[in-house]
Amino acid sequence: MKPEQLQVQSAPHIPATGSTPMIMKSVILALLPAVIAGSYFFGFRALLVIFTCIISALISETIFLLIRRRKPPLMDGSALLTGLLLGLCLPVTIPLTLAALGSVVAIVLGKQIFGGLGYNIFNPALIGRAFLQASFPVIMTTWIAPINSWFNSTVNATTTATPLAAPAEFSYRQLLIGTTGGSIGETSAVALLLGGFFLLILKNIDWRIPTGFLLSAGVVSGLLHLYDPGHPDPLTQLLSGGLILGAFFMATDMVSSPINPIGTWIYSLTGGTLVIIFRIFGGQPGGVMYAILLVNALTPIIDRYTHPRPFGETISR
Amino acid sequence: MGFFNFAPSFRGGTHPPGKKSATVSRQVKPIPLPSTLYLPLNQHAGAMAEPVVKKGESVVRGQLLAEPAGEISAALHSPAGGEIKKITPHLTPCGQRVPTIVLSVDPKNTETNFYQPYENLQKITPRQIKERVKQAGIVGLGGGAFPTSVKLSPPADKPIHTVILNGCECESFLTSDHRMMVERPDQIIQGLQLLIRAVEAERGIIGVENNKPDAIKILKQKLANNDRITVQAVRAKYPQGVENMLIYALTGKKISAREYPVDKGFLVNNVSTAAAVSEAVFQGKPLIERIITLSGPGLKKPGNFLVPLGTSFKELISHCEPDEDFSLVLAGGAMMGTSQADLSAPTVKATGGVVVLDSRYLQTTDEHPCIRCGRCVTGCPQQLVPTKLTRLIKSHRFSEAKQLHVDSCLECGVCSYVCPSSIPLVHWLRVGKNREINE
Repeated sequence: MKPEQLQVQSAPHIPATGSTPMIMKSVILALLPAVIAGSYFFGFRALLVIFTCIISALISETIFLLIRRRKPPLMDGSALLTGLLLGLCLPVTIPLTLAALGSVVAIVLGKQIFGGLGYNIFNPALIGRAFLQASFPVIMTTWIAPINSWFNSTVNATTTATPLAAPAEFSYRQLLIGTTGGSIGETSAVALLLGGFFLLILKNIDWRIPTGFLLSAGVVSGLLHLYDPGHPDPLTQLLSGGLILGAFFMATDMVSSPINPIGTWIYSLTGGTLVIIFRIFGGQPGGVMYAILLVNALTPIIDRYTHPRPFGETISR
Repeated sequence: MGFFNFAPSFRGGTHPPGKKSATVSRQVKPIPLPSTLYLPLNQHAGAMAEPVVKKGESVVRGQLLAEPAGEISAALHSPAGGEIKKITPHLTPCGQRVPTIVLSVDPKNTETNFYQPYENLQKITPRQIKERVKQAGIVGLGGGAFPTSVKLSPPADKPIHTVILNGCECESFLTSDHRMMVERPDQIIQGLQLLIRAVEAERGIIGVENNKPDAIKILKQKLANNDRITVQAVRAKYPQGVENMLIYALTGKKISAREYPVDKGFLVNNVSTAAAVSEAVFQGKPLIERIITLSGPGLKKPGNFLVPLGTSFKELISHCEPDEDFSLVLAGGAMMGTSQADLSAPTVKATGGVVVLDSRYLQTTDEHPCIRCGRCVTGCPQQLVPTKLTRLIKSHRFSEAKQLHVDSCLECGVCSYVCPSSIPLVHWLRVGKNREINE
């Protein structure tokens, strides 16, 4: 016994099980099926785009942290995740320089400007994508048909419509598997759901967010479809575009979503509703992106008005 | 446990590793009487007791050493025969130095001086029970150490209808209450009957976490023909043993941190406290010893022990064959226990266990930024927002933290435990709570 070696620390004394880097890594892992599917449908270039985004994100994160005189916490995985997410929501035909630029914007304007991890108001990857879409609308909405091979080149591929632009051309089966036009990582619902459920099981995303997004999007599009059958039916709406990618992987970004369960419901139900409104009544593609950015912006005020009442208190505050 | 576990509980909380298997089936054994006992005068909430003995005086086991000073205070008795060496400031498990009666134990002095035992439950008046509980210096043995006699005398406009016994023992490593329920169920039930009688309540409930099926079974068997007392299983979840969480699980009534159970007609006591009440009434024995758990990976022979109050942690640990290199000694369990800077602090009335941990339990992880995952929010049994409070307290915005009810924090430590960024949230909340008091 060596009592002089006794340490003193503040309770609790049981180490926690999870960690922030582990959460980030689990999300990255959960996105791998979508990466594999995307690179199969759109060829090797898809990997190149994703890789470019990741490298650019890591470099800009490091440089910015050096400028801010912070220890570069590259190992926390958050910058890697931002790059990966951005890459997955870009068209495969995008010039690599633009992909890299989008990543810089995502990290610098989307995250570091606000103070780095934990302080960003918006999902950084979506800031990067919104920047690219606003600046290069034609490039960002040029979709090619899937080539279904890891090795073929995508250079000579034919352009095609996305399921949202021409819903009648695609079957549910195609939408589920992902053999449609669209961003690299958004077309295969099966691959995304696989990763999404993995995260739900690990409890590394809040189940209320995908549930609320898909529920409200389904209900609103169902109502609109009943009112006017010319609008796409709910299942097509849910399976197409970036809705599943957004609902499971982007809206669930912990930093930019509400912290209280009730607020999370408000956030996700509003978000899903906005997705359909933007898709039906807005002319622009990217409804999911704008919907998530908008509810991201609402998060502070949602948090403020859903501040929980302490146990047994009859008045809040 | 967990997913398919529908026993009543509260919202929030968490499931830290129980770590009870090392001691849960070990029968309570007495620990040898040490040569010196250290008896601090503040082993209870409220005013420090006033000594009635002097240096050099010879005392016997059970003799009154210090009497309560004021309304909220508790008496202190000698756990053994011996001589008062001195009354001097000494370390307590909380890290303070308070006036302490140092007793040099004389093993040959085996005389005892207990109170007159009562024979029959039916013939004791509520007043006699309250008086005896006060004489015996009984305090809440669950850790709060609030004088039990005070709880037994509620204001006239707040009658007590339900007496609840707390047999949750949700804290990791600790098994002393569990052993108590298994080994001394009759004493616990007698104690509950006395408490019910003392406050003239209608009914009694013993709430036990459903990870202690043996305790539930025994108590239910003993109470099969009793229609006033029920045994209810509650979900094994931390911190189920906080009295307000237990009341909610058992009755659905919410009591805020600003209220007391008595405000809604409840009296909550630990099962060990009830047993102590029974001993005081039917054996005349004051509170001079208690059952504690000595456990943790740093001890080769952990167990549950009957320990005379005042036994130093050093004595306790050496009795259990400690490893060569342990890093942490806790008064209490791993979630709420206080880590000790040295081992001279004694066992006090509030000590439920001493846990010895190795270096795996040291907090070495770097803190990451808060990613607003909300785990502290959904985990907080009081439904506070620990991360927001921490941000306010770190930037010295104490009055805002107070507005957001930092004072309602139970200091249960769930927020720190579930935080993926290793932020010591409960520590900051403690800072905020204490700062408010000083201002």
